[in-house]
Order: sequence, then structure tokens, then C-alpha cells
Amino acid sequence: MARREDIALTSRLSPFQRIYLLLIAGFIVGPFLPLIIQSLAFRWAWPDLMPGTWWMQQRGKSAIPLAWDYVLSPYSHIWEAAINTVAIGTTVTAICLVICLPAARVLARERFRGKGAFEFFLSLPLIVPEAAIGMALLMIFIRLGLAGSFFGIVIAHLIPTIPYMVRMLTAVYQGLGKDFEEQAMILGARPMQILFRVTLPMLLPGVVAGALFTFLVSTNIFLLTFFLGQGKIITLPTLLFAKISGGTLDASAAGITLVVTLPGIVLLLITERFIKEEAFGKGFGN
Amino acid sequence: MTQVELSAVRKQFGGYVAIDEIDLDVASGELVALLGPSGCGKTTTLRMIAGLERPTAGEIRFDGKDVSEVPVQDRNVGMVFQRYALFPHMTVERNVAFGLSVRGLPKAEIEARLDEMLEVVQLQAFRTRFPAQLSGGQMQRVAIARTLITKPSVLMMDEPLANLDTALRGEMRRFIRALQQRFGITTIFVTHDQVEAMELADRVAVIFNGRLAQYDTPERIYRRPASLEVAHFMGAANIFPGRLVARDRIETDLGLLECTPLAGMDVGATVHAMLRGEALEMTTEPPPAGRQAIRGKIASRDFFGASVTYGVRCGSQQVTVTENARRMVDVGAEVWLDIAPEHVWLIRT
Repeated sequence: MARREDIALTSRLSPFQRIYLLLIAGFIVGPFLPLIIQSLAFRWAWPDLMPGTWWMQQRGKSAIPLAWDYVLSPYSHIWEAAINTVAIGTTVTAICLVICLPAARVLARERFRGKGAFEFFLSLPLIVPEAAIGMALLMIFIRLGLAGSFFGIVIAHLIPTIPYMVRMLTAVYQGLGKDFEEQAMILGARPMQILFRVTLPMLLPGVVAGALFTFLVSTNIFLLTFFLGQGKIITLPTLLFAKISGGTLDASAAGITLVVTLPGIVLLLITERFIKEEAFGKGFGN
Repeated sequence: MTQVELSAVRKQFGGYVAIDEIDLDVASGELVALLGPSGCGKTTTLRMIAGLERPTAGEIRFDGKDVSEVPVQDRNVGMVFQRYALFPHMTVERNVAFGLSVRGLPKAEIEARLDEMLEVVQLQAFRTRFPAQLSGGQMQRVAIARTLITKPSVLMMDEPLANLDTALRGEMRRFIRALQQRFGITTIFVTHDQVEAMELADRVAVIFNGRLAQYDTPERIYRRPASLEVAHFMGAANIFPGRLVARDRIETDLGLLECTPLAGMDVGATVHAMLRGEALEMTTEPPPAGRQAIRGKIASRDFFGASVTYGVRCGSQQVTVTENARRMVDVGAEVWLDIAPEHVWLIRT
């Protein structure tokens, strides 16, 4: 009994907990290893544990461009796709925030008739298959001339991201009492001052988390982008799907896959620092 | 220095009546407590004075001018919330300076007033700390400083002592009183705790169910409650129904009691007699003849350190007596209760 309490007090991990953590880490990082190896391989056939021939060894001899040479060359369109992806993701996140902040405020604080139905309606895009949404949107967008345009895709991406964002921000707003805004009001702050000096900074961790999530969802949407981009707008997912649709995961596909994961990882690292930085503590009295 | 006046103020939320009708007059520089059980409408009243709620009917006047339509930002009031509502992402100085910086005052003036205010609340040493790094008393001082720096015409507080421990309560009480006197600022605070109300206020407004039950000095509210409800809320233990048999005599289950006559009470009226537990003189010997005394037996004893509370059985009735703990009388002992007529207070039914 005493030993157990010691463990809890010193907050050291038991051997079981350590193995468990390692397993989870392996589960997350593991799939990347073959990708990295694959992208660097020239020939990697079963049952070899490591590639028989590496990319570098063939570089001078090969007539066609090899994996990374191809991925980083203009022929792969990867820069265009990456820029499109990040631009679309950023625009979607910004618009999503502007739409969802006021909505979440109302959902968190007010009670009105049909609120339950409204919340259900908001989560509908998560239930309806993306293909159905995409088809319907495409028909409308072709009429409106939005098909194959940047903003057509942005609008399409808002549909599956808004439900997530509203939910996240509603939860954050529920945690933020009315007191702070009322106090700011009594101290003489105007609505815009309250929003930028009190509300947004206090909601920041939730807003950052919601924005990160929205961005990641947007950068990963394939079907809607594929339908509405009509091949005119390439993003990283559509590029990747075009590459692997034949069913083979060759070295250049592995390279593209690795590039596709980059925006998310970079963003995660930035936001994590951002959230931790400020001394957000209890400070709410009591 | 602002005089606050509520006249026939009513507040409804949909079909729910929060404030039935309240008239209240707070003199300039006065410290008034709004006292009542939770849900009685006292916080709503405070929020209406602050401008966070708009009255359904009636007028709120500051120095005779109706402010019911003046938005919160322009009303120039101050409010200290129960949980202080310090902005957690700002340091103490930025919290305190908030009211001035949103008004766009020049930096130099903000600095000067900030320094002065931090000096007043003795928080100079904590100016770069975040609220999460402060104790409860310090947080409250920051909240008060943040409010006072805007020079409000009326200061409002929601349960100012409720979140503090006993030792801090006394300190904060003296601090609030001293500040209030120093700035001469009209102050209104809300509480559900009658001790807190009596400790701090010049006058106490007792509110029940959205109506003003009594508005008087703490002493009079405690000793001379206007109604049974007020008496019970102020913790009165000994209330006996009875009938006035003469202008200064009341027939109760405790026996015939001599009392101070009260204007407007006719002989034959059914009234209640209230005896404050600490106003009764308890003796172990029969008192000299001519004194009004009731014989009884001690049925229970509760020791509170500085005071002792006895339950004394007198015939069919139980009387609660509170004494200094200078002596201890054992349970079962025979005692006499000496009741001075001026300590028998009559309450209309």
C-alpha cells in the first residue's frame, strides 16, 4: 500500500505506464518511418527490411527524375498546391471565426425557442455524407460560376468546419462568465474595446484550439475540394490522391505524403508555444 | 458625492417578477446594505442601479436626475463583483489602469493616478503580478482599486466579505470603511449575511420577495424589526404570540410580560413579543421582589468560546439566552430570567 502512495506522490511512472506510453508514441510515429524510408528508396522490394537501392545511389544514372527531385521540382505542382492549401485553410479559419464567435456567444449564454433543434441543425454537416454535400454544391456553384474558384472552395470548406468551431467556442464561452464583460462595461469600455481587450484574450486558448482544428480539417478535405476545384485548383490532398489513385505507393507519393503532413505539424508547434506562454491561471477569485 | 434614489422601481423578467416595487433613498456619502435571502431581488436592484439591467417601471435618480436610460458606460458607477472579475490576462497595474486606458487618457496621467491608487490599496509591490498569483484579500483590493481609480459617483459591491476567511474579514471591513470615509463615496452593497450587513452599513435595506421590508439603521433592524419576517431573518430566537391586555402589558404563553408601549397598538390587539437572547438577565437566585422574572430550568447548553447559549424551559415554552462565557451554568439548574420591559419589543402580526 505504502509503495503505491509513494508512486503517486513522486509522480513517477510505473513500468507498465512507461511501456504503455511508448506503445502509443510508436503507434503515432510508427507509420511515418516506412514513409520516410520509402521516399528515400529507389528500389524497396519484399522481403527486404531496408531498400535494396537508395535514391542517392541512382541519382546520376537515372534518366527520369527520382522521388525528391520530382517532388521538389515544378512538375510536381507541390508548391502551388501547398500555397493553395495554406491560403484556403487560413481564409476558411478566419471566416469561420467571424461567423462562429457571435453564434457561440448566443448559444452559450441565451436560451431561446428551438435552440435544441438549431444545435442539431448545426451538426448536420457532420452526419450528411461529404459526397452528397459536394454534388449538391457543385450543381449550385456551376450556375453561380463559383465552381473551380478559390472562394467556391472556401465556402465549401466552411460547411464541415463550422460545426466543429461553433462547438468548441460554445464550450469556451460557457466557461467565461458574464462578469468580466460586465465589469469592463462598468469601467467604461465600449463594445469593441471589450471584445479586443477582454473577451478575445480570455477566449484565446479556445480560439487558438478551434482555429488550429479548423485549419487542419480544411487542409485535409479531399472530396469537396476535388468536386468544386474541378481540377483548376490543386491542393495537397487532391495532388496526393491524384498521385496514389493508381493504388501504388511509390517513392514520390511517399514524398508528397510527407509534405502534406507539414502544415499541420508546423502549426501545432507554433500554437502550442502560443497557448502556454501567457500566465493564464485561475485568477477568478475564490 | 451622489445621492441615489429609486422610486417605484419594478423589474420583470418575462412573467417572473424580480422586483415588485421598491423605493429607496441613499444619502450622499452613505454606506447602505441591501440585505435579503438569495433570490429576493437584491442583486437585481444593484444591477439596475449600475445600469446592467433596465427597470421595467419606475425611475432611478442620481442627484435628482433620471438615469434609467443612461448606458452603463456613461453612468460613472463602480462595481466590485463577488468573485472580483479581475482580468486574468492582465497584470495588477493593467487591471487597475483599465478604466482609464479605455477612456483614452494620456499615459502620464494614467501613470500618476495608477501610482496613487496602488499606494492607497498598498499593492505597489504586486503591480506586475497576475491575478492568479494573488491571495483573496489582495484580489479584492485590486478589484476595489480598479473601480475607485475611475472616480465613480456610486460604488457598488456584491457580497464584499463573503469570499474571505474570518481574520481577513475584519481587516477588509475596516479597509472598506476607511476608503469609503476617505473618498466620501456613496456605497451600496448586497449581502445575504445579516452580520456582514450590520458590520459595514450605515443603513440596511431588508428586501423580501422583491419588496422593501424595512430600511433602517443596523441597530434598529436588529432590536426593533418591523415585521416577524425581518425578526426571523435577523436571527431572533424568542418570539411569542400574545395579546395586549393593557398598553404596557402583554399576555403570552410565557406569562404576563411588562413591555414598552408602542404607538398605534391598541389594547386587545394580537401581537408578538420579541426577547433578544442577549438582553435577558439570567440569575441562579430569585431576583429581588418588584422585578419581572420568570422561573425556568436549563434544558441545553451550547458553548461558543466567547459566549454560551442556553435553552431555558419555562413552563411549556423554551427561551434562548445568550451570555458571556464568564460563568457556566449546568444543564438542569433552576434559573430566573429577569426581563427588563424596555427589552420586550412588540411586533405587529
